[in-house]
Amino acid sequence: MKSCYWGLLVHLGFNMWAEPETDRDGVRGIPQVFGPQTAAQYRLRFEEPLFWETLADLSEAGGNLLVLDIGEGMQYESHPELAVPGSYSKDALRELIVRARGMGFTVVPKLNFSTCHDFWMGPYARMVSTPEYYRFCEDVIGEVCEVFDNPPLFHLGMDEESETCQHYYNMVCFRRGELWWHDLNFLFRTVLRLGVRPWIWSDMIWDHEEEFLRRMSRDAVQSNWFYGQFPEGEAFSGRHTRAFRILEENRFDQIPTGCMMFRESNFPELSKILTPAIAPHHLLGFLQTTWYPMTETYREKHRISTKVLGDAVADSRAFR
Amino acid sequence: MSNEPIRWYFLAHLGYNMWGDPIADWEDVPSLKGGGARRVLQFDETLFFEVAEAFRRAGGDSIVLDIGEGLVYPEYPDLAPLGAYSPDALRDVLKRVRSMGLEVIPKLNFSTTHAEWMGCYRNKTSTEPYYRFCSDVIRTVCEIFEKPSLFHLGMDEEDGVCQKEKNLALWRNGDLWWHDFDYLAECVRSNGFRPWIWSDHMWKLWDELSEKAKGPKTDREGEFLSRMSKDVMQTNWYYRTFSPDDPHHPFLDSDERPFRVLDENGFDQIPGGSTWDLEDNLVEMVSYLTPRLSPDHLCGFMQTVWHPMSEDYREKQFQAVEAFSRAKKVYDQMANKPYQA
Repeated sequence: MKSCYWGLLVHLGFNMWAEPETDRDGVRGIPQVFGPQTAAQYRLRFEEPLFWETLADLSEAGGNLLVLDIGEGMQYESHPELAVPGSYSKDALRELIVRARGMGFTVVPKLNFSTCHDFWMGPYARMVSTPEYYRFCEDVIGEVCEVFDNPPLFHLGMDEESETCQHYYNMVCFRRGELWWHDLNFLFRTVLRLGVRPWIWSDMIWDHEEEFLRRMSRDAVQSNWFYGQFPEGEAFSGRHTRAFRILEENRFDQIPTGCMMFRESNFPELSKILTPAIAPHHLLGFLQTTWYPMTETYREKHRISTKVLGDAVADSRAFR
Repeated sequence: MSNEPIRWYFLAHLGYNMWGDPIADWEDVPSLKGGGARRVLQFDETLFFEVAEAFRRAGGDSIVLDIGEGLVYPEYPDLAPLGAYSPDALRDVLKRVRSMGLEVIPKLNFSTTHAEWMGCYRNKTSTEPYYRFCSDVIRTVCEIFEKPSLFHLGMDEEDGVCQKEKNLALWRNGDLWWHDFDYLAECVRSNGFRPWIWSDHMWKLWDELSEKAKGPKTDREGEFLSRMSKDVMQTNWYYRTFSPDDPHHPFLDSDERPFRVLDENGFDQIPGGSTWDLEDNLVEMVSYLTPRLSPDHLCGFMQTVWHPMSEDYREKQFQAVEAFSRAKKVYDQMANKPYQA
């Protein structure tokens, strides 16, 4: 069986949801119902000792891919105003990447360009689809590719760009129709020009299947995500799970994604159901997610995440 | 505003790029529904003066001119479509309107639902470049209009339900809306004018929609009453019938309520009617509200058309003037009726 990615998404930056409790202009954010961690903070929420412990657990569990969601976690030379106290210099981040690679991981970057998850962009989150915004996207993608030294993949996010996911934001902003596709393809071109393959979340397909299949470039790796329990009997009958099958039928490369947040056993179940359902040459691997900051407060969440990833890897070896 | 006679307003559009997507000169992205902002000004000056004269003869005294992209803003000339007025040309229009005995009041709509005239500055809402833009255009317009009076800032319908046909949906909630509104109001005051807005931000409708969408629990009316400055002139608007027999009457409870709540809380108001849904809406509005609102705070009524000031819509414009004329007659006949506190 070909080698397969067993990846973990780790957040270096975490300012990817709501505005802070109070922003720098004194504007109060809307109280969050999805946990206080979803409000942005003007400091980096990343503790390196816990990160290395998690990586050691991940290695032990059989993980081989680290996706690092950078956000405000790096000091961008082109946009120094985005850094918060604790943001990594480019050299410090390079050292972290080299060390992680030394542990046997493929390390790839993620920057989320969805308007639902772009608080890390600072003022550029409020300049969507302007010349300044496009230049910004090119700048940060270029710098990140440089620091990651031409990674094989670059995750661009682009999930949940809708009204539903921004009810608790002060500024609601999302693209539709031609504009969403225009900007997505711009991001794809920017990444491809640097010799890197783009990767996105696939949830746009849930409610726009025909358009997605007609317009989505197969250059991009797809991560449909499902965090619940697969329906009994008909695994691919649900609105979210159907997409795994549709992507496979339409010959997209996939890295299906699970999470321990709502159902601890989601990830091993997901990989068990999908391994026989997706052709090996299209199934690039699986990605586990945690969606909590890499800080001591959430140590147990990260432990569970890597543990169930290990369960999934063990199952896959037994399946072979 | 007590002891002053009420005034009669007519909203006329100089600019009309206030609904679709902005013209994206920087990228060639077609609008969602093929409509959107136009690159040629939709304003016929001859028609405008005919309408203004008819309005004056019918008893009107004030034109509210919704400027939008209709002016070449000196700092932002790229926003101007073909036919936009230079500052001097606009001054000439104002001079002629005033010589007819009409007051003329500026309007610029800063609601993100109606901000296509701003071009890329709509995309930059709530950033430093946006705030500079707002300050600049307000100052420019105040300089051109010269005589301090009211300045209508719009700020209506800033919600997703009103942006279903935009490529870029964008609106402000909570503290951010108030922060930006307060900033705009202060820009107006600093130029010697009095701010004026549409009052729908206080509607309970938005609370209901948020609850239905499983969004945050809001109390728009309560927040409005505690945060809105009394120096801001209010225009709540309602375009249907005031008849309790009408099948739409259940809406009357939510849409009529703000007039009463504004009055009870001491806000000056100029209720807004229209021919949009019902030709004689303004007649019914004047008849219904005049005895119910305190003369201390009822400052006038405004008629709206919501069509371009262009030949294609000549009939609509004069229909609105004629409806206004009927409303004015109703008011004149009611002049001696007591206010029902």
